[in-house]
Amino acid sequence: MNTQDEHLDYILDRCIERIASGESVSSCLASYPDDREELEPLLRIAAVTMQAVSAVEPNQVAKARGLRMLNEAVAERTAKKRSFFGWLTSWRPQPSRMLVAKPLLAGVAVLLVGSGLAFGADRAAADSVPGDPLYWVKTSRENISLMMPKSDAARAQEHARLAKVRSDEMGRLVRMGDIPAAQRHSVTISLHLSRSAELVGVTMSTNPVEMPARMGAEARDNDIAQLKLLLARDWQYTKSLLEQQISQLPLEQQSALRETMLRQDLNYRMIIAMLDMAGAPGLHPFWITQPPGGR
Amino acid sequence: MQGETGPAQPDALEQLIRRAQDGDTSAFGHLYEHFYDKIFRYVMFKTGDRIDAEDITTDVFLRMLESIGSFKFQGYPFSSWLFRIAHNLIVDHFRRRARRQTAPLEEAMAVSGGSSSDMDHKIDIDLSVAEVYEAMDDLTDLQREVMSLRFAAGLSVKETAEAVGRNENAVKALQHAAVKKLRATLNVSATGAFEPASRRARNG
Repeated sequence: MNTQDEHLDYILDRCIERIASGESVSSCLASYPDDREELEPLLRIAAVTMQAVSAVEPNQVAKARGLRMLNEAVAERTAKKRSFFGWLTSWRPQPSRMLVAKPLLAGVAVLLVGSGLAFGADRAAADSVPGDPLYWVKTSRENISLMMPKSDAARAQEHARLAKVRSDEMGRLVRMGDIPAAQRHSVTISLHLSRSAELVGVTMSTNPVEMPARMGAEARDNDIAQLKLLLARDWQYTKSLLEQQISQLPLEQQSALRETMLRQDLNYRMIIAMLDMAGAPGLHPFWITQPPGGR
Repeated sequence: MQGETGPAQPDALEQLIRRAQDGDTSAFGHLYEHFYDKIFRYVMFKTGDRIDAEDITTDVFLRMLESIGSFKFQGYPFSSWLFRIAHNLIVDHFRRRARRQTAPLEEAMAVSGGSSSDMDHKIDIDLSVAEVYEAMDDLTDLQREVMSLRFAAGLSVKETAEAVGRNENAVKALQHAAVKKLRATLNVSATGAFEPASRRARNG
């Protein structure tokens, strides 16, 4: 390779960087008048290629679905690693053994919860937030509660309730001034919400063939209506509480948290709208890109 | 093309990676947010299929979760490591099934809710995307890899060099050769306007 080639490699790369950061082809050519003739057609091609590539936008619903899968995998891993009850939560009995397993599991759960109560740990754990030493007691209790034999509709309501618990914890983290932790915690709210919707037969999917929205075996209009009511009430309450807390924060923290809150708002609205659409004939994949009210 | 100096500064990114390695669950969500679009574009650029690209991108992050503990900070950028995972998954994908030959066209574009008056413009862009993808087929594997990492994923020359196992000068030379080759295939006017082959045919 000769020196001229190396020189062109270098200036082409410099210009590609500049165009990628928003400069025009002409302004870049102006910096290298001696190489203009050779450089110009290459830069035009580079600019067109960049433009074509950047026109490909990721589908936000698929992105959210991927994040949910990652969060579930992370949660599963964490549960196995950290939870005292990891072995219990990861255990999945064969369906044929469920008749024996469910009452047995319920018995073990009652015993464990009872022991927790006896030691007073439960009460102390109830107000704990992520990072507190007793937080695992709280989440383990919740896991056990979710494993208790109950209908899908009841389980959906349980997840909706847990989304509210997570929102309360988020509010507590804000009061404690730990804004990054509060922002991070919002992911778990989304997880509970989507699980709740799934349990009444609503699945977030962009591909209705691969994963059609379906009514769960026990999902009834009444269950869906109750869940909608619960979600709408919880979010109204949490939103007003968070808004109040956010207004007391320094300005720079306010905007970051407001963005998180908007995302949660969108999340709740999406789930509620999906529940509205559940069971509708010719249901299309759900598609909302911003809250109806905007910012 | 800012590489890891994008939205999250290198220090913040390193901190995030270390937190993820320590088992901080929320850190994974932040890494996902930071890298998703870049990985998706890279995979999309290489597979030409939106659904495959979405699936593979999700797998990249699940693989990241499994093996992030093995990532070591020894001058090797995290993004290069992550794109190496993506590359391997793409190779696996093509091994499993023959590459689909369908042009991405409307699949390649996001459903951005454009009005009908934008339709002609949209079709032109769709065709441009398809033709750019097609033109990429004339490149060598290594040139295509460099173009995907630089143009689609937005990696810096250094990160690209680490990802493809070459030095930075070699990456610049590969990039130069690739752009030259694309120039021979694509028709771009002196004003920079791209005229898709189909429109050229329409206009006679």
